[in-house]
Amino acid sequence: MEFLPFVYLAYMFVSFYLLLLTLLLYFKNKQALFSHPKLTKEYSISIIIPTYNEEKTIVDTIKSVYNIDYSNIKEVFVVNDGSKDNTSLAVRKILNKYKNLKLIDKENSGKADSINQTLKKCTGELVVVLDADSYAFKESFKKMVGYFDDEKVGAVTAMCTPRNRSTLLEKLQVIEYKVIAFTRKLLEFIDSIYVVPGTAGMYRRKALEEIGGFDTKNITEDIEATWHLAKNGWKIRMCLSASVTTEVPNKLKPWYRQRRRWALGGLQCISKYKSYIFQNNMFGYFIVPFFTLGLFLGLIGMIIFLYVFGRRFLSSYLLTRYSLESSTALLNMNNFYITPSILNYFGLILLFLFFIFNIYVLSIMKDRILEKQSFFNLIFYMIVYLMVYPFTLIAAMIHYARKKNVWR
Amino acid sequence: MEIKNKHIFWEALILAIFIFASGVFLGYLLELNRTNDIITLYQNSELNLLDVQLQTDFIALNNLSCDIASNYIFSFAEKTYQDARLLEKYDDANKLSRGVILQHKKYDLLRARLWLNALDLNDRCGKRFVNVVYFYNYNTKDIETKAKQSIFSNRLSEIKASLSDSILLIPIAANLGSDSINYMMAEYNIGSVPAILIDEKTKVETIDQLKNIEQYLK
Repeated sequence: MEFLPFVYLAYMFVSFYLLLLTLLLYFKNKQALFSHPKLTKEYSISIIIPTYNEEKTIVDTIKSVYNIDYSNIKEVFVVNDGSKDNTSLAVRKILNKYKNLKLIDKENSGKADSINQTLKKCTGELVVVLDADSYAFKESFKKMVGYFDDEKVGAVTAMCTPRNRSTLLEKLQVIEYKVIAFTRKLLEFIDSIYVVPGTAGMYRRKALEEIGGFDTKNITEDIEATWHLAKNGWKIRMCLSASVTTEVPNKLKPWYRQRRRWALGGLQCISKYKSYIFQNNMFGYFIVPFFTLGLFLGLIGMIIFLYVFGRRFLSSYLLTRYSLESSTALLNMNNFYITPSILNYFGLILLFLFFIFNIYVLSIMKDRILEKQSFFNLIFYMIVYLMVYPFTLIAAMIHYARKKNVWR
Repeated sequence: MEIKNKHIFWEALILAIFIFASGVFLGYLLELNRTNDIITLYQNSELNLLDVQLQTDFIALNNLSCDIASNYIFSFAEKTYQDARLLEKYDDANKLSRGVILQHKKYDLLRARLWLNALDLNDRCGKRFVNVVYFYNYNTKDIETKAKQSIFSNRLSEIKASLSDSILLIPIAANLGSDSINYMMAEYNIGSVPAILIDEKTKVETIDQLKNIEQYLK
């Protein structure tokens, strides 16, 4: 057999295995998908909201925090990380309106450092880190804190979905966030959640202190902190019934930059923790290899696609050129005799399975996208949107090679 | 990790291997079925050619009409040309199973034999048609050669459609390591493929020459 068909088959097998793993996890644990532990104790909570140029959203975020149905919020820190807009002024205006709301104005030093500095001032048993454009739902904290009854739980994350859902790009991100939330919850059942997203994460303060807070050198400090906690044996949990909404990029450029940053942070994490692969607990046996595989599977897929597409393109170019030069028809009836190879069938079957999987996930997540819209968005998401991902990874790799680890 | 999820990696792996292997096996069977179709096609062509061979020998032996002999050769050449195109498409689609190179080689040798028959007929009966032998690379992966072959092939199809009564088109794969075909190519100084040899005198090897191929066929 030739080499390339072997690569296709290997790629398809890995994708198929991951799909089956996800489905098995779902069918074995579907009763527990949306459940959460009973609230036995209202742990004291400190909330940290790091901000940078968020004058438009910060006030609403603070309002949403004080709207949360939880009686033991000890303090809310808004950390203004050297904003160049009127973020500080906007917070000052409402400072007296809310109990225990504290503003920290500081020089710009990055998100991770802002959280770390504030962490020293926190007195709550739990610490919630909330992005300045994220709104937590009213019941979310009550649903999340129960997980901390297990003393090994170091962090809990909630389901995060986009708040802005008008443009095509935003709608595609809705699909993406829902699918990610679903699979993340499934990963909880094998102790393999690989990120507590920065949009909203609830941490045991003791756990955060144990790992020395967030890594200021990593541009996705949320992924790094999660890996660090997992490496140290802390359990990470996800509450799918607790929701947080966030503002997602509505233009291609900021979207691209965000994804590139995520990929770059991922590469930094892989580089930092590569020595733990196949060591220790689920962190070494699954989180790092799975994350690495997930990152590079897309890249391999893109390389295969570019290779095949490139050959087709070159072939079409040569055919057209020779056809013009020799005054010969480019196509005749014989060219329309199509005999697809078995690999074409396999590829189509796999694509179809992923399509069904996504529809199924969205129906489980009760997404209105299925009621309101045609399947166009979903097809576009699978065929175009996901195809762009590897490009962000390549850009991140170039940045990584050049040591351009910039946060904004 | 809960007990019910403890073995999930192995369970998924076993399930994936089982389903995937079943899929690959089915694919292999499907390709094998295709291969059998190809072999049947080759075998039919081989029989047809032997038939033509016997007919022409019989005609020569009994001094029968050159028209009849010519018709036999013509109809067979037409069929082998169409078969060759179909077989190429089939061959290209096979990814999991073995190719049919041996059958193809045999088939090409028989077509070379057809060419010699045609030469013999022209000697005995006078020039009755233009011999057009098309040398190409079987199952080539080189994009440029593939594109060139496609255009050569399309051009020959056009010519075949417009001059069907006066040309005998015989495609022969040049890269199957057959000594006799290599010898024939060397004899006519065919250095690169695709190439068209017209009446054992004129060679068409470039796109420019292909453009003006009609003038060589007159």
